[in-house]
This record gives sequence, structure tokens and C-alpha cells, in this order.
Amino acid sequence: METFLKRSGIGAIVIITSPFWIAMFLLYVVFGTLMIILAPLRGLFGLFSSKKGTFKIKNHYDEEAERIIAESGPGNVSGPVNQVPTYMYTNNQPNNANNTNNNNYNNNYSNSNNYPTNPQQNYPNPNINNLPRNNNQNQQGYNQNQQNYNNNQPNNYDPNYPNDNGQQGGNY
Amino acid sequence: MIDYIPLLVKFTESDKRILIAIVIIFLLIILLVGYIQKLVGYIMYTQGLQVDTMMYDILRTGVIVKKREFKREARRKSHLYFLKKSWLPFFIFLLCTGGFLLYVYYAQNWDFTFFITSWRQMSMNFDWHIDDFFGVRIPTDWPTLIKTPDFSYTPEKYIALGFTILMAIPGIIYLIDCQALLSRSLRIRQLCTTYFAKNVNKLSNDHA
Repeated sequence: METFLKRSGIGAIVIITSPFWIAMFLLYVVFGTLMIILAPLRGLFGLFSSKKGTFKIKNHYDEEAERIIAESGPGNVSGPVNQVPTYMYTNNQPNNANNTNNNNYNNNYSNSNNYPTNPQQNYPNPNINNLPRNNNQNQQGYNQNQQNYNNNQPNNYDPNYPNDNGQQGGNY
Repeated sequence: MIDYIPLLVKFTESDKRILIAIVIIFLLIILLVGYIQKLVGYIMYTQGLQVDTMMYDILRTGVIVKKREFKREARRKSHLYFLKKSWLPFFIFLLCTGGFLLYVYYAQNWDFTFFITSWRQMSMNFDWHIDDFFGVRIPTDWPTLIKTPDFSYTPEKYIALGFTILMAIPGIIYLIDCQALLSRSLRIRQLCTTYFAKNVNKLSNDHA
């Protein structure tokens, strides 16, 4: 009954607002037609301008993205969302691309009280009071177990481990 | 409001049945429109996902972090994608329209009678049995076929048929492309409000 009423309500709203949607669609048809008609003109201007590739979908943003992916590996890039602020971290982790010691990912943590056993909580200790960093503290064993860690991307976990929400694949 | 109540009371049994039938038909129509909206919404959502395909790597790597920059780049890509997809159907449609007008010019048939009569000959005619149903005149039985389509060869008939097909197919493809352009614009708008929203929950993995 609820679904019936909801669908009927949506239908009534669609009927009422249909002139708006039809007008919007027609506007886009006119806009698209104008765009196609003016495209040769745009191409002509593109020949004389300094910008190259007027009709190329991929541009410098895509090249930059491809470069970053190629450098970090396809599974190791995390987006800008869900970033934990960098002031929360005490460790400056080097980009050690050659360190691929991934088999022992949890073993050192499980033997130490300083680190949680959940691999998704393997990010460095938070500097809650914002005190000066002691680089010798809590560092041993950490660098060895981080693969290609980049401090600008603190969520750069191993994609094979799910996070607290059960998400897997490195894109959180 | 009170003045109308005696009017409702005066309804005969037949009037009430008509009223119920009209209400049911009206409800069915809005329900059908509701489900059509669901279908169109789904189609437009899948068309809008092209924006995600084009912008995924850029956003994942954090190359673009500003909303305005994202909007500009996504729109640019969407417009170029539209151009690449729709120039051919548009060109074929334009070519066919030009050919049709050229034929009309040489045939000196500016009232398009050849087109109308050709299609009348090629279509079917039905006889609908219209009768009273609760006081409303509607078809009450399956129709009978009184005229079959005539596909016998005459040049006008096949020119009309050919031009209709050649103009309709690219025209429909072009309209679908325009719908996709609209869908992508709506998706960009949606992403601007969801992806770039400053939601504190996103900072915490516990509430992500």
C-alpha cells in the first residue's frame, strides 16, 4: 500500500511538473544542436589558439592522474575524501617503494602492545596533544611493514584488508 | 464545502459507478506515469554514470580537489563526449532532411500530400466498436480490420517510407544523446553536492 501510494504520488508530481521537464529537455536539444553547429567554429579557433587538443576528452588532469596511478600502483591510490588530518600523526613515513615486505604485515603488531591487531588501524599513533614528535618512539617495526607509505594519504592501507565498515579494495 | 454535500447525496447509483470508474482510471494513469518515471530515472542514472567513468581517476588521485574545477572539467568532458557521440546521427538526419526537401522542391509538392497519402496507403485501418460503458462511450470490443497495408510499388510510397526510416532512426539516436547530456549535467550537479560536501563523518572511518 505504501509503495502504491508513493508511486502514485510520484506519478502525480511528474504529471504536474512535466512541462518543466519537457521544456528542460527541449532546451538541451537546442543547446546540443547549437553545440554541434558551432563545433567547426570552435575547432577553427582552436587551430589559432595556444591550447592544443580542443576536441580531446582527456587533458592534463587525466595525464596527471595516470602518472600518479602509474607511480603508486593501481590499488594504492586513495581519494581525497575520508582523509584524516595530517596533524593527527606523529610519523613522517618515507616513500619506500622497494620495501615490499607484505607477508609479515600483522606479525610485528600482534607482538606489540603499541599497535592494534586490526590492520585497518595501522595508521600511526595520533598526536592528540600536538606535542613535539619523538621520532624514535613507536617507529621500530612500523616502517618495515608499510608498503609505499605516503603521509599525504594516510588511508593508504593494504587494499586486501577490509576496514571497519567491511569495505575492501583500497578506495574508502 | 457543506453546499456540495447535498449534490453528492443526489448521485444516482449509475453516477456513483461512473465516479468510481473515473477515479480508478485516474489512479491507474498516475500509477503508470509513476512507473514510467522510475524507468526513465533508471535510464538517466545509468547515462549519468558516464561522468563517473570520465572523472573517476582524476578524483581518486586527488588531482582535482575544488568543486568549481570539478564542475568545469566534468562539463567540458560531458560536452565533448556529446559531440563525439552525436555528430554522426545529427549529420545523417540533416542529410536526409536536405534530401527530402530537395525531392519536395523537384516534385513541387510543398503541401506534402505525396507523403501523407503514401503513409495512408501503407497503414492499417480498424473499425472500433464504440459503445456506452457506464454512460461513457469507449471501445467495448476488439477492432475489426477493414483495410490492410498496401505495399505495391510506387516511387512516392517508397521515397516516403525510406525518408521516414532514414530520418527517424538518427533522430531518435540524437534525442537519446541529448537526454544523456541532460543526465550527465544532473549527475555533475549531484556529485558537486555529495562528493564535495564537507561532511565531518567522512573524516571518521567509524561513520564513513
